[in-house]
Amino acid sequence: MNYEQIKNKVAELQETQGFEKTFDYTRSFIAKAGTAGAFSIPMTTEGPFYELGYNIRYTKNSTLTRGGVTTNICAVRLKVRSQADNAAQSNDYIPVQLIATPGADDAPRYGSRPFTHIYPKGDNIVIEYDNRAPEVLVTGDVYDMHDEKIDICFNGKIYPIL
Amino acid sequence: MVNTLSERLQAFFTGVKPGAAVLTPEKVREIQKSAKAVRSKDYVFYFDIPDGAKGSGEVVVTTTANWFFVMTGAAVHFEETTDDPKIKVTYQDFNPSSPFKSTPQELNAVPAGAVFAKEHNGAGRFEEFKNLWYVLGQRITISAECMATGPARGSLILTGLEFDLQGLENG
Repeated sequence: MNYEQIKNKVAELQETQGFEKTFDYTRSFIAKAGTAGAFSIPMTTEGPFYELGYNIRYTKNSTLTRGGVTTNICAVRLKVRSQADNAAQSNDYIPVQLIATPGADDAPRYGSRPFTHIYPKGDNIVIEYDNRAPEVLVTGDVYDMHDEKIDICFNGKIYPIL
Repeated sequence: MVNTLSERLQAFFTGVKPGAAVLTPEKVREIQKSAKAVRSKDYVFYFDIPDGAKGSGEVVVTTTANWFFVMTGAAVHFEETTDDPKIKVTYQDFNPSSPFKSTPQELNAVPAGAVFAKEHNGAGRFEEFKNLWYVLGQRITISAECMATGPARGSLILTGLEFDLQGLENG
């Protein structure tokens, strides 16, 4: 391309806003009580996806009973990776209560947790989850595990020109 | 004139006052421009701390060769406590062969409640920029002291960025 062609191409991209578009990949799933599993979210072949962050919402149906007092908990843990490069985005499963913003299912949301990763076009976001009961910390503790609903949304941009 | 990779990276830390942000926005842009790729990475550390005791552990940096991990923040979450606990966390650069001689970094005792949004007006996460650099295979040692009455169980997350700095030596 010569200078004039490049200038016209840039103008066209800017006018059509065709060089990038915001996109959310979202999935709601049930983490069955006492089980672990994995699934993937297929991504578009339109262009690479530049992930900027994510939101997680979760239920707290499981309970911990200690000293006669029962509290609701969510013990689900997640691990995310790109199928294409197989690069795990954490060294271990992370509790959803640690990475969800703001950390409670009934609290007002204020934004997503910043997290950057570039997925090539046609890649899959692989999500592994674990909803098994933690080991007992105090003698007499009783976990009653229940199914949990997890909503996760990855936000970012797709670059169709690449 | 700096030539080696370690010297170049070390230069970013020159003249930094304790407690201040290590990397200026200009230096961050310089690193990002030099790096072929940047991606986020989390290291999570679980702890069960008995009543009145301390817990400690370490995680190994598992990024690939020529990638560097820089810790940019941390957040702690208590899944169970019997009290309103506080936690004191110490990170240490464990590997003496590292070109980056980090000194032990210590967080102040943080009320665990502060990490929850509802108690902290939406702030949600406790973030502390430490800017500690780690390389492949290096161990991050963590000591967590829970000042609670009764045992505590929780998790600590070290958030950061990985940089692919291949070719920077010759750049």
